[in-house]
Order: sequence, then structure tokens, then C-alpha cells
Amino acid sequence: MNIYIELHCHSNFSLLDGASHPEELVSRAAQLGMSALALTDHNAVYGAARFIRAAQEYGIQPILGAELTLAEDDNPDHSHHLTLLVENQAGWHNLCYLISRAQHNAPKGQAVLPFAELTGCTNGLIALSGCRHGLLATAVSSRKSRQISRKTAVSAARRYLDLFGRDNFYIELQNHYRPDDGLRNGRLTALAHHLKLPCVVTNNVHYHTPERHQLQDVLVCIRHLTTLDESAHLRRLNGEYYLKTAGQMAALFPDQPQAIANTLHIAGRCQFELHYGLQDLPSFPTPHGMSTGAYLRRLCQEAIGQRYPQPASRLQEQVNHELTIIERAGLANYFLIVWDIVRYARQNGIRCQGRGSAANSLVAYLLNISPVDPIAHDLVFERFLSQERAIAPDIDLDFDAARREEVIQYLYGRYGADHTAMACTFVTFRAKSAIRDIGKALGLTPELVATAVHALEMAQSPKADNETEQGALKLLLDLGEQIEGFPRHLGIHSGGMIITGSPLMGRVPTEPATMPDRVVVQWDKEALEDVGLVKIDILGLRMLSAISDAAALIGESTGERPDLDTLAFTDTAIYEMIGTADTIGVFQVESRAQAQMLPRLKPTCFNDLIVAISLIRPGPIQGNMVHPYLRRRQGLEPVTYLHPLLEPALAETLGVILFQEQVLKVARDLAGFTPGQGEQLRRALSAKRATEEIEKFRAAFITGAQAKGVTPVIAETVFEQLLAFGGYSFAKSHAAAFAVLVYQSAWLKRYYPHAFYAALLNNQPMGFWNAAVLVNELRRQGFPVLPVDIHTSQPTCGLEGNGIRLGFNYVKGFHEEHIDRIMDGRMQRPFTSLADFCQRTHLPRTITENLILCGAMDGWSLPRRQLLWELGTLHLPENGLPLDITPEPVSLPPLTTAEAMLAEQSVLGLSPGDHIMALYRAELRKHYILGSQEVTAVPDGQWVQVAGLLVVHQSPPTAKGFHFLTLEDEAGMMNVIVSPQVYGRYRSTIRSERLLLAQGQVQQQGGVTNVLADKVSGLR
Amino acid sequence: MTRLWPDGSSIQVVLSSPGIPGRFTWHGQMHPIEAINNRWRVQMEWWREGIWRDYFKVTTTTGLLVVIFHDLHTGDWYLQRLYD
Repeated sequence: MNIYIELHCHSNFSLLDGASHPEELVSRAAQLGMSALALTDHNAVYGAARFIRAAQEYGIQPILGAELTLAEDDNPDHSHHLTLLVENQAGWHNLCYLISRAQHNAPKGQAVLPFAELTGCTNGLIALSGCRHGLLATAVSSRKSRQISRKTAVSAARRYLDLFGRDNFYIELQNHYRPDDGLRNGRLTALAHHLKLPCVVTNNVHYHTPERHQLQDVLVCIRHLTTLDESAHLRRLNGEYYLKTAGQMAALFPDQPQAIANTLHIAGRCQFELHYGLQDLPSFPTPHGMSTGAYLRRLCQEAIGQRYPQPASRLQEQVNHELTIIERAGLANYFLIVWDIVRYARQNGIRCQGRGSAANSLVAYLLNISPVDPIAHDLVFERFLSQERAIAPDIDLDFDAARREEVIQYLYGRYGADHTAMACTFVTFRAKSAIRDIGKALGLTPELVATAVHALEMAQSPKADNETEQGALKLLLDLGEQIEGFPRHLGIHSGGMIITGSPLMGRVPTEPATMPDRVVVQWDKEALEDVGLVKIDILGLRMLSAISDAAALIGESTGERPDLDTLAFTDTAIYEMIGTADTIGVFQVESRAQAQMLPRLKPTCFNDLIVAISLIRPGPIQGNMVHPYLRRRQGLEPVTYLHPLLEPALAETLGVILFQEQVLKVARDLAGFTPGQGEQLRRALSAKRATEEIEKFRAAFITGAQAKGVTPVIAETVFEQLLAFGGYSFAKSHAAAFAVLVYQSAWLKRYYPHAFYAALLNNQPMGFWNAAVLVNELRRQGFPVLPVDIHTSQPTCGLEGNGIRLGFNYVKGFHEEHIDRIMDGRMQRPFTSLADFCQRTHLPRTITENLILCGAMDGWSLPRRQLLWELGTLHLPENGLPLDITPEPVSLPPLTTAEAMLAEQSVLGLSPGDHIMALYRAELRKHYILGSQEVTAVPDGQWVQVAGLLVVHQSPPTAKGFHFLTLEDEAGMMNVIVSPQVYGRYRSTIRSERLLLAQGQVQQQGGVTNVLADKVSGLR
Repeated sequence: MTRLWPDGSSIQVVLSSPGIPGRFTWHGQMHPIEAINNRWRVQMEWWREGIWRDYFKVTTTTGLLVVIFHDLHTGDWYLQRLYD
């Protein structure tokens, strides 16, 4: 029988201190027969959700708590520890509050709570007096006279007694075989006896097994930026801080059976379970005190009136159906809060739209949250929300990335800083960085660490010069393996916001983020989902910024800003453009893989765009669905169904399962599942849940199918297909929301390419291709790309004539302040010479040099080299005094085209003039080396040589070692496929050269040209 | 005055219970242990050869006050410190 429970236990969420994952601790505790385990990380509950999940899995009771750092107001440098355990809801509230106060009270990572702040915040908490750094332990161990130290200890204990009450305060005893442990425990026991206080034994656990004490030592070194050799005073004396058996603990305290038994007694009291839910959200204010449900209904009805002149009865039925489920689940308030965010954005001209499963909801569409009409696209509401699974579903909102901050500020303003925070993220140790950190702690030479990193990259065993070094390398890699995935520090989640009705601090601990005035909760996205705290994702999407900017540029140049939200998705010219893979810059369908697929798919309608987005995903690729679908699409294989009942669900994708929603439909049509049950099945399949759960669904599926006259063999086969598909699938609603952006961006590219590309250039980095490729593409389409010009350029890229003028944002090293100085100077009068420019802008010399090099000063018709020379002769005083100019005539040879191009490339990251391959063209022709246009006309199977600039190099995990190179020249792009064998021969060339010459066989397939390389070399 | 053997002076130990010394023989003389006054464990420098020792501060019926240790790697016992 279990006689000991560990009540003081740190996981690796005691950052850079604890040396085991919560799961490892729980699993070990279960193995030792403990029926419960407490988690008491330093001033944090970061690991609580993972801890609870693991505890449930292992069938043991999780006890939540923390080890709090306290300090006296008058002596803030002398901090001490106190172990707190949560007994009930009030205790959780107080723990959250105390941790938050401790975190907000001190610089990041150094949380400390002023002692006085405990007052009034101890209800529901059980306090253990702490480790050897506890107030009582330090008092009794003090070097002062026995009498004074005893007096201090008694008064400290009385303070805790007053704060927590006699039933809730225990003297904590620990024995780690340190020289002072016996003495301290004796005095603490005497103190307890004197005050008639109970004692409790704990082990201040920092790792689950003894072996991990090595890693714990290393973590201490990483935390203090030191080495093992120099950190004896910081490290623990031995490795006794592991989870011990009841027998080991009893042996450490042979005279304290009651203090051991008290661990069970305390655990028995701490039965608290975390519960969150919709009640945490603020109540949305409705007009005239209407209920949120009634108000939501009214908004929907108004929207129907506006959007559908003659609403079909099905529409009204669907709205009623959704509203009933929404109200029953208590989600009306949640919808109103999201609606309000979207309304704010639209009123302020911030482009936004919902993504994810929310687009399955007609209510979300009517409230303008999602851009997709779910009825028109045959989406399934239950994928989003169902009676069977009435929890708050995630609503993810994408906003114009440049203006997302305004939305976040709106929420802070509307609900108050005490009620609003962001989810955190945990930055974890990654293999290579971990090796470097551990290498430093072990005091290894940088060369030896580099050897280990290299071995890791190559997945080889490292080789050292001698046995000692070999041993060190082994130790290094072993520790690296253990530490991988450990949380290192906190960051801010890109968009997850938590908004609560009651102050956040009492619901979940918060702490300041690195970003000023920003607060994060102590849980990341997964943890929030686990505990059920509602999060709204406010995400930034650069494509929305680019679409917004493009529309503004068009408005400025034509006087009419296009309304992209009213586009009807029916323009055949758009689909023709996409079908020829003329998609560079278009959202989601511009990648190399899409370009290979689109000419075979030949999309002709909006639904085809949804398919295009969904096909090129790891899921369908790994699930082997892409080629069957495309073959059926091209009429190369018949469309068949395993059973006629599958046709309604799968007809839209020619019998191939492509969308998550189809799992629900198949389960409904073939096995009679309700949509809600179908969603439960889908979740079980996608999460690869325990086989037990899946087997239950399998049995229900086969029975249900039999009732519909489907043979068990067919039902079984279909179920297996769903199982294979489950883990990789993609929601159609999500793809549909994204398809709207595909269409809008394609429309811009088709009709206003210069405005679209200027907007893309101003929002880099984004998408698949870099700025240089975008510029080359625009030029190939016949639109001039004009260089940066100090006389005409704007801060960002803009339109000029029928082309674009590069903006100052592309000049290396430029800051806003530099741009302002040029714009201000230009406003006064045009710059007449380099000296005039320098005199009036006082820009740093390197910035002016960059302007010369990228051609921004070509307007004076002076060679760039001469301007550079002149710049060198100018004396540029910092204080703005008149310049001492002594111009001298000079004759220098102008830069060659290649030199100029290289300089532009280095300053701008692109070259506004000719493509570099154009310089080689005549020579290449002489040697019958083909360009991107010529190679498309070569018959299948013929051997060729092609050359171009390497712009993309991909080797996706799904490609089994094949590498895909995209070579660009002045006329376009070409695809070169390199087999694993060929890559092995030319690896270093491909990785180091930018201009490549490839020799190989042409493959013409479905309108796509590839060269299967046999040989690759650098172009000299 | 205290005498110190930094690397320890070899002793032979008979245990009273698992891991706990009952008496030891040093330079041919037997010293029954009267009381263990303190004990501690040191586990350091694992990144080199490693030190892993159980220390005991004991008094003997022969009138000694000594620190002895048990090398947990080798199983050998040593006397490290003799108090005057």
C-alpha cells in the first residue's frame, strides 16, 4: 500500500532548474505506486495542463501548486521559498493571484512577492514551510545564537499560522544527505512541537530518476552562464533530489511516521479540479437588456434581409438550427464578442476574415466573421459545433498584418488590461542550440562542440582525436538528447488572446511579456485548449495587408478603389491564368508544387480553388490522394465508389476523400451517424486516439452500415480508408476561406499586376517567392520596374506610369528617419548635386553610398563610380555646418553591367535592370544551352542542357530524397528534378553555386516541363 | 589539531545495517562505532571520473572523533579526518 505522496516537485517548467518533463514525473510516480503527485514549479503553473493530462492518463490524482518566492518589504534582497498547494477553487484563485503579483512585481524571470501581499490571499491554500531556503529553515539554521534564531523562527512560524490558519500550515522536512540536514530537521521538529504544528516530509524533487541530476547540474550552469567546473557553489551537493519510493523516504525519516503519513492526509484534501468555460468570457452588452441569444438572432435576421433578397427556406432552417445549438451551448455571448471584433476592424478599414472550421457556420457568415457562404459550398456546421460536443469552438481571425496591433489595442481598451492577455509560447531547446549550451557548460572547446553539431546535422556518430574527447562528445550528445524539447523561456503567441469577465489574475496567472505593456498568461495554446479557457486568435496575415495596399494603390492611380469583397468568383480569365500556373504572388497557389499540379487540375470554378489548396498538403500527398484525384479529373481513370451510398459525400471530389467534412458525411450516409457523432469520429481519427476509442467507433460504424444494407467487408474497407485519411486531413471550410483570398489576389494579379506586385514588395517577407523573383516576373510581363530614385521614390514601392518605382524601403540600412530626411529635403527644393544632397540630409556615409550603388542618384547623369569618388572627397560634419567642398575633375571607368548588377543586388536584394542570365545568353546559345522558354518546346525524353539562377531549392520530406530546383532566367522559370543519387554527386555544387548548369532528360507531363538532371555544375 | 588525509586512509569496515558502518579497522586496530553524529552524501564531478561518497562523522568507543567515507563507485572505505 502507498504510504507516501510527493508534495514538492519541480518539473522542467521550473525553467532551467527542473530536469524532467511533467509526464516523466507522473509516469515515475505512478510506477512507484503514488496515488497522487503535486507539481510545485517556481512561481508558475506553466506545466499544469500537461501535468493534469498525464495524471489522468496514468490514473493518479494531480495536485496543483507552486513554490512561491517571498521577500520582506524592508529586505527585498533576502528572498525565501514557500510551498503552496491548492485545496479548492478559492485556493486556485489565490494561487493565480499571488503568482501574478510575484511576476508583475519583479523583472522578468525574477518573480518575488512582497510578504505583506499574502494577507487576505491564503484561503483555500495549504502552505508547507518550504525547502532549506524557506523562512523557518533559514531561521533555525542561522549562525546567530541559538536563542535568537529560535525566537526568529517562532515568530516567523506564528506569522504563517496567522496567515494560513492552524489546519493549513505544515512544517516541511527534507533530507537530501546534506551535512546540515539532520541539525535543521531536528530544530524544525522541535519548533513544530513547541507550537503544536504538524510536520510533513517532502523531497523537493527536481527530476524523476537519479540519472537526471547530471542534466540538472547542466541546467544550473546554463541558467548562470557558467561552466560545471566554476559552479560548485551554485550546484547541489549530490543527486538526491529525485522521486523516491515510500520505503526510501521512510528510511530517511525513521522517527517521523506522522510527517510521512501527513502527505496522504494533505493529498486527500487537495481534490481540486480545474474547470473553465464560457462563463469566463465578459458579458457582451446588448441593447435594451436583450438576452445575448435574442440579440444574436436579431443580428442574423437583419443580415439575411440585407444579403438575401429572397431567402430560401433552407437558409432560415439552417440559421434556426445553428442558433438553437449556439444558444443551448451558451455560445451566443462568445459569437457577439467575435462579431464585435470583426465589426471594429471593418469600420476602421482593417481587412479581416475568419479561417478554420468557423467557416462552416452560416451564423458566422451572416455576422461577417467568415467570408464563405456555407450553404453555397455544402459545408457541414457540425464540423464546427455540434450538440454532441458543445464546447467553445476556436474562431481564428486573420487581419491585415500591418494593422493587427490596432485590433489588439481595441480589445485591451474595450475589456481592460486586467481582463485581456495573450497566450504565451514556450521557446524550447532545439538539438543544435542545446548542444552549444551544454558544450559551454561542460567547458568543451568550440571545435569539439562544432564536431558534435556537425555529427548531429549529418546524423552520424562524431569522431574525436582521443578517448577523452570521444567520451566528452558522447556525454554531450546524450545530454543534448535529454534536454531536447525542454522549455527554455517564454514568448508571446502570435495571436491567441484571452478575454475574461472577472479579472484575469484570479483565473490564471499572468506575467509581463518581453514586449512593453504586454501581458501573457502562463499557458500556451495547447494548455489553454486542454483546460478549456476560451481563446480568440487574432492573427496577422500579410496577404490581407498586400490586398489592402494593392486596392489603395489602384484607388490612388485610377481614382476608383476596387471593392474586392463583391467579386463574384466567376471570371473565366482568372481561372485560365491559374490553370496555366501563372500564379507567382497569388495566395496559396504560387508554390513550385502548385505550379506542377495546376495545369493538370485546370480549375474552372471557386470549388476547384478549394480543391487546389487542399491537394498540395502533406496529408493528401502522404495519403496518396493527389494522383488518383488528378487522374480522375483528367479522365484517365473512371470515377468509382466503393458503395453507391458514398456518392453524395464524395462526388464533389470524384470519389476521393479530400476534406474533413467528408468524414462526417460518409459516416452519416453509410453508417447513419449524426453529424455530431461523425465529428467525434473525425476527432478520434485525427488525434490518433487510443485504439480502444477507435475500435468502439469501428464497431458502431459497421453495425450502422449493416443496418443500411452495406456488407461488413465494404464497411470495414471504408472505415480503414477514413482511418488512413484521418491524421492528414484538411477542413474544406478553412480551404474555402483561403480560396477567397486566392481569387482576390489572382484578380489583382490579372487586372492590376503592377499594383499587386508593388503591394507584395511592400509586405515582404511573405509567400513562396522572394522579392527578386517578383520583380523579374513583373518585368517579364512587360511592366517596367524602375530603380530607387532620390528625386521620385516614395518611402515604399509605388506606381509610376504603367510600372512600379522601387521605394526607399528596399535600400539596405534605411530607417524611417533617413527616409524622412530625404522627403523633407526634397519638399524644400530638388537635390541638385551629391554635395547638395549630403549637406541637406546629413545621412550616414554608408547610406548615401548605398543610394549611389543602387542607382538612386543616376538622375544627375554622372557615372556611379564618379559619385562614389566624390562622396569620398566630401567632409561630412555631424553638426550640420556648411561643407567644405573641393570638387576636382576626375575620370574613372564606369562600372560594368555585371558590377552594377552585383552592387544593386547587394543593396536592394534584387536588380531592377536586366536579369543576370541575359548577360550570359549569347554565350549560352553558342553552346546550345537552353533557356526557360526554349525548354518547354523540347519533346519528351530528349537530352538537354539548361542554365539559370537558382531561386528555390526544395527537398520536402514527402519526396523520398528527391530535390527540386527552380532555375530562373530573363524569360521565366524551369524545374530541375535531382534524384538522390545525382544529388549525392553534386551536393556541394548545388548548395554553393547560385548560377547552375544542368544536363538531363526532358520530361513533358500534363503541360508541365521538368528536366531530370544527370549532371549539375556551376555556370562559369 | 585535526589531521587530514585528502585522499583518505584505507580502513576496513563492518556494517551494522545496510550502508551504515558498525566498526572499522585502521592500522590494524579495531574501532567500534559508538555514535554517528552526522552523515552526508557527495556526488560531484560526474563529467570527469566522478566523486560519489557517503560520509560519516562518528565517535568510537576507543575515543576517536573521525570522518570516514564510503566510496560508492568502488565500495572501499577510507578515513579522511581525525579530530583531536
